[in-house]
Amino acid sequence: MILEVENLKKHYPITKSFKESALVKALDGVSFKVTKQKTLGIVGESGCGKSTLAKALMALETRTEGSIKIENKEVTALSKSDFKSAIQMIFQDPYSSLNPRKKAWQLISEPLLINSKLSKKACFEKACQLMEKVGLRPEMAQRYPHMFSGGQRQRLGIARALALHPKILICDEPVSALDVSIQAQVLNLLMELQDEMGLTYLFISHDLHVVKHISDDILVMYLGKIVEYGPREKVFDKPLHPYTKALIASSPSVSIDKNEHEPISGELPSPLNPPTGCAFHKRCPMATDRCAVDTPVLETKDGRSVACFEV
Amino acid sequence: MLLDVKNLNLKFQTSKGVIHAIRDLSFNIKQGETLGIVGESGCGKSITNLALMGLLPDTADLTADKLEFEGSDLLSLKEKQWQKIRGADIAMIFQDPMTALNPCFTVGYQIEETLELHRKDLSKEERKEFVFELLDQVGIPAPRERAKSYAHELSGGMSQRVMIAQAIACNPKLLIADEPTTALDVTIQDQILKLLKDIQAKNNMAMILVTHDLGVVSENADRIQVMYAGEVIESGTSEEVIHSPKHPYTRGLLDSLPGNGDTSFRAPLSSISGMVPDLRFRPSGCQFNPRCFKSKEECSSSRPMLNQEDHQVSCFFPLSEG
Ligand SMILES: Nc1ncnc2c1ncn2[C@@H]1O[C@H](COP(=O)(O)OP(=O)(O)OP(=O)(O)O)[C@@H](O)[C@H]1O
Ligand SMILES: Nc1ncnc2c1ncn2[C@@H]1O[C@H](COP(=O)(O)OP(=O)(O)OP(=O)(O)O)[C@@H](O)[C@H]1O
Ligand SMILES: [Mg+2]
Ligand SMILES: [Mg+2]
Repeated sequence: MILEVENLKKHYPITKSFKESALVKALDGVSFKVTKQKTLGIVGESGCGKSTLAKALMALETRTEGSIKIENKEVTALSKSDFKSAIQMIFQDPYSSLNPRKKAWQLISEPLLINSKLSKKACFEKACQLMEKVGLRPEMAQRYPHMFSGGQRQRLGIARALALHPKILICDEPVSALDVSIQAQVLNLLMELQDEMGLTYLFISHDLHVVKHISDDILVMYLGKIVEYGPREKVFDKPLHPYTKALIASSPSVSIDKNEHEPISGELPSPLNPPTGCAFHKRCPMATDRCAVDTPVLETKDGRSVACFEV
Repeated sequence: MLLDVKNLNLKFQTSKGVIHAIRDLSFNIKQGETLGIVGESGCGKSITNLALMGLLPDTADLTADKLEFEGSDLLSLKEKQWQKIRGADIAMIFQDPMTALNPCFTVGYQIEETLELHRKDLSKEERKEFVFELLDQVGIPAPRERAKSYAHELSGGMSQRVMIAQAIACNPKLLIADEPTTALDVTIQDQILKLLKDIQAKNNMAMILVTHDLGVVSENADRIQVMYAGEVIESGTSEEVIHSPKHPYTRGLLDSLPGNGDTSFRAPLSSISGMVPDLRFRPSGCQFNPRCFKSKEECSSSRPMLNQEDHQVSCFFPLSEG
């Protein structure tokens, strides 16, 4: 098991004026495991805690509770450089996540300059190799980010993340800012790199077609908690949780058989003021009285875990 | 014909030269119809809409053989006259509700303002009542309380609905929705699109739906217009464009969608090689020819025009059925 996460929590304190402080439970007890060279797809509504999960794993945010183990070692026990070479991240927006004043090769080799003792020349050479790996011509090494297209910039981001040879790569919406044809190029690249370098991915996206295409396992989140988690065939082909079902039903597609379905009603709950019981019960077509009172926990059903009283 | 556009051209004067952003664009919309506009980033979707709303920046140079709304010319309108049409006959929903709504006023007040401008027949009391009615219509619970909220106190889906309420306040004949749901997740997107459809059916309103999501237009538009480098390269019913595309570019877009084409696990996705042209240095001939797998000599020497069939395409070697 390359990555094991147990009961991970991240609560943000919020100070409301004249009131005592409240907590936003952005992540509330998330557990999962990922095998080497596999992809875990993470989906869920906006604000359900996907990016918070990524940041907690990257130690960009201190976690409130829980354990994160990489290759059976608690990450807090790893040295800084071991940690950096264990896990890296690529960001959603290829436009704002790259420093516009740095040249391509500098951007890519920055993590190397900071975390290794390589000379500047060696860094440059390494950057060129990485550029070739992600399908950018090394002649472009001297260019600034604005001289690259969106897809090329996302490649730069990938090359940079790969500089320290990470084992795990977290991709937080890596293709949502891109056009479909460029999206396809970047996804192909990620799949090739995975085979070639034995990478493990955590892939966050709101596009279910994309997630389904590349993920071995799927984790569905709702308001900081996992509601369904299991192998892709199970979760996509026979979803059990009513929220997973709603996600799949509302996912727009170009297929001929137009899905005639009623959209589920109701607003996303506010994490500041979460509903009692199951967080989804106010929007759920299957909700009973019990759902408003008790909180369902994850249980194994038909080859996956699901948190719902009614399945 | 509600809206009739013939040979619209739009140029920007910039310090780095002239950008010919829209070239010979022609299209029309009938009452009650939904036209989907798709195309890669920068192909001119948003500026086409701004032209229809009279909201182009001063640096823009707009010409057209015809730009008519309900038979009257839009090109010659002065700002004063635009103000009468904008928000009343032609309304727009912007991509990002957070920046489009004014943070300093309650959402109720902002809708009321629109009514004050265009519905002089209503008294102050009636306007207030109508605001609640509109908020209720777009599915906002407890509209009387919600009208007092500020934009930042609402969720993304709710603010988007407030924008819709404001846009439909004066029963527009044409609603322009520029990426109305990109900021939302699929379950809320679904609700909003259903809502727009209901309003449309009730008021016989026409709609321009701009999005990069081919699934969304396929499920919601009657006709689809595909744009490339500021030109329409294909146009037809949703059925035709999505299921038997004629232009290699449209085909390329569809093929690169995960979940279309080869849907088996981790199958390589097909993609269109190359990049969209820099509009200051347009290629000669067909704008897509440097990236096209069917390109022949003719394609780079002369420029194809949109044919006049129902399912229009501008290509010398259009794809055949199937
Ligand atoms: N620094 C912070 N302080 C307080 N609350 C925060 C902070 N960062 C995130 N949150 C809250 O935590 C919740 C989860 O946010 P997160 O960014 O993880 O969502 P997400 O699933 O990535 O959403 P999206 O799909 O929109 O990117 C949200 O309600 C957010 O408002
Ligand atoms: N004010 C301006 N000055 C100069 N060029 C402009 C201006 N506004 C837009 N353009 C150019 O016109 C072209 C079309 O822009 P537009 O915003 O319509 O694209 P779009 O199709 O809406 O793209 P997206 O999908 O990214 O929203 C682009 O190449 C853009 O750079
Ligand atoms: Mg996020
Ligand atoms: Mg746009």
